[in-house]
Amino acid sequence: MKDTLITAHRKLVELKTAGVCLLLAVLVNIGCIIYYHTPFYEVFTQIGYTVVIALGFYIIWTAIRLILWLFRRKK
Amino acid sequence: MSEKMTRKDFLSSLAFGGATLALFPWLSACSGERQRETAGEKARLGIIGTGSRGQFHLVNLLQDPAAQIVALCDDFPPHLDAASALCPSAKRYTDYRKLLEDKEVDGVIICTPLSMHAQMTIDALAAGKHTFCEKAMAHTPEQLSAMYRAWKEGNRVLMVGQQRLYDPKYVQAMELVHNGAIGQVVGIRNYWYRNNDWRREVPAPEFERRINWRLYDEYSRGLMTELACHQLQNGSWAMGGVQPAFVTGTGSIQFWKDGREVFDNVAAIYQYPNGVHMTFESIISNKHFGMGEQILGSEGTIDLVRGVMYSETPRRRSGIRQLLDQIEQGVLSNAAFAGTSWATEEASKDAGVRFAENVTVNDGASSVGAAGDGSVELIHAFCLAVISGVQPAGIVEEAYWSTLLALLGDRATHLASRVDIPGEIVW
Repeated sequence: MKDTLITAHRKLVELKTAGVCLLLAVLVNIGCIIYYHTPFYEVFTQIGYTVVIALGFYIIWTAIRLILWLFRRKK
Repeated sequence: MSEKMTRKDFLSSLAFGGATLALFPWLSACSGERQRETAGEKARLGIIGTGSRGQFHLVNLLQDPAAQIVALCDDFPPHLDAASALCPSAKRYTDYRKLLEDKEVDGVIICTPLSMHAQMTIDALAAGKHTFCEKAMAHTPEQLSAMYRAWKEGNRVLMVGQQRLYDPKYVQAMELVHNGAIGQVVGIRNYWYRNNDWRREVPAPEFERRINWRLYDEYSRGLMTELACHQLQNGSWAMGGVQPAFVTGTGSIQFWKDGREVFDNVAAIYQYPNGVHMTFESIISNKHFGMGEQILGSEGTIDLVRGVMYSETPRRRSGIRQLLDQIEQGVLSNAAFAGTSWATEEASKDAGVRFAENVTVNDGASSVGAAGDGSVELIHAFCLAVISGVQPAGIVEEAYWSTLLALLGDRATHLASRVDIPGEIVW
C-alpha cells in the first residue's frame, strides 16, 4: 500500500471549504428564524441541525468537485 | 399540570382539592385516615361466582391484609374446585342463599352473569350483607331501579365493580379537565376494538350458554354492558355529573355468525343537554386501534388510556425544524397517492405531556381484568367499607348511571333510533 500525502495547501482548502459550509448552514438557520418568526437563541440551540446541514453542504460540494475533477482528467 | 403521583401515593395521601373530591367523593373511602381506622381488622368475605372474574378478585384478596375469604359459592363444580384450590380454608357452597345465611360472612362479592346480579344483590342486602356486585349493575332498567331501591331502603354498603373509580390516571385527568386545562369540553370519544370471538372453552355443549353467557340476550347486553359500561363514565365525569339527554345508535352481527345473539359491532352516540356528543364504538373483528378514551376540549385533548394531554396549539418547532418538515411534506405531497388537501388534514404530531405515571395500556385481549386498572384498589376500598360499615359516597349513583347509559344505548342500537334518558335516578 502506498503512503498518501496531504499537502498543507489541500488541508487549508478543505478547512476553508468546511468553514464556508458551516457559515452557509448558520445563514440558513438565521433565515429560518427570520422567516418563521422563531426566537434568535435558536442560532445556538439548533447547532446540531446546523452542523448536520453544514456536513450535507460539504458532501454535496465534494461530490461536485469530484465530478469536475473526473471530467477534467478525461479531457 | 398536577403533580405526578404513583398508585401507592394515590391511595395513601389522596391529596386532592375539594373540587376533585366533590367529583370523586368515593375516594375518601380508602384515604389514609380510613386505613388507620381499620388497621388490623379484616373483612370476612364470601365470593358468589368463582369463574374467571371471581378468581381474579380472589387472588387479589388473598394478598390484601384487610380481607379474609371465608366462603366460596358456585353451582359449576370446575369453577368452585379451582377457587377452593386457591383458598382451601374457605367454606364451599353451591347455593348462594345458603351462603347468605352464614353468620361468619360480613360481605359478599358477586361475580355471576349479568342477569343474576339484581336478585343476588337484593337478597344479599336483605340478608344484612355488605355487597360488592360486578359491573354492569343490572340486565334491565327495571332491575336497576329495584337494586337501587333495595340499597337505598337498607343500611348496608353496596359497591359495584367499576374499577375506573379508583384508577389514579382518571382522577388526575378529570382534575385537568375541571381546572380548564383543555378549555371547554366539546366532545368525548370512546372506542374498544378487539379481534377475538369473545368465546370461552366449553367442556360440553350443554354448558355453552352458562359459560359463554356474554353472547346471549337472556344473560347479557353484549358489548354495551361488558365494555361500554366502563367507558361511559368518562362522559359523566367530564361533564361534571350531567347526564346525556338521549342516545341513538346502531349495531349488528356482521362477522362472528356463530349462533350468538348479541351484536359483534355497535356504535352509539349520546348527546348532552348542551349539545356535546359522547360516542362509543366497538368492533370485535379488528383490533388495530385497540382501546381509546379521549376528552376533546377547545384548547386541548386528554387521552385517558395513555395518561397524556395534548395541546391544540403545541409549542412551535424551531425554525430549522419547520423548514425540514416543509421540505419533507413537499416531497410527500408530490407523491401520486395523495394531494396537498390530504396532507393538511393530518392528525397533530404533538407528542403531548404525560400526566400520569406507571400507565399500563390494556391490549383488550383479557376479558377478566388487567394489571393496574384500579380493580385492586376498588376491592380494597370495599374491604375497608365492610370493616367500617361506611358507604363510599356517590359510588352507587355512578354505577346506576353507567349501567343505565349502557342499557339504553343497547336499546338504541337494537331500535336504530333515539332513546331518551331520564334526567334523574328512577327508583
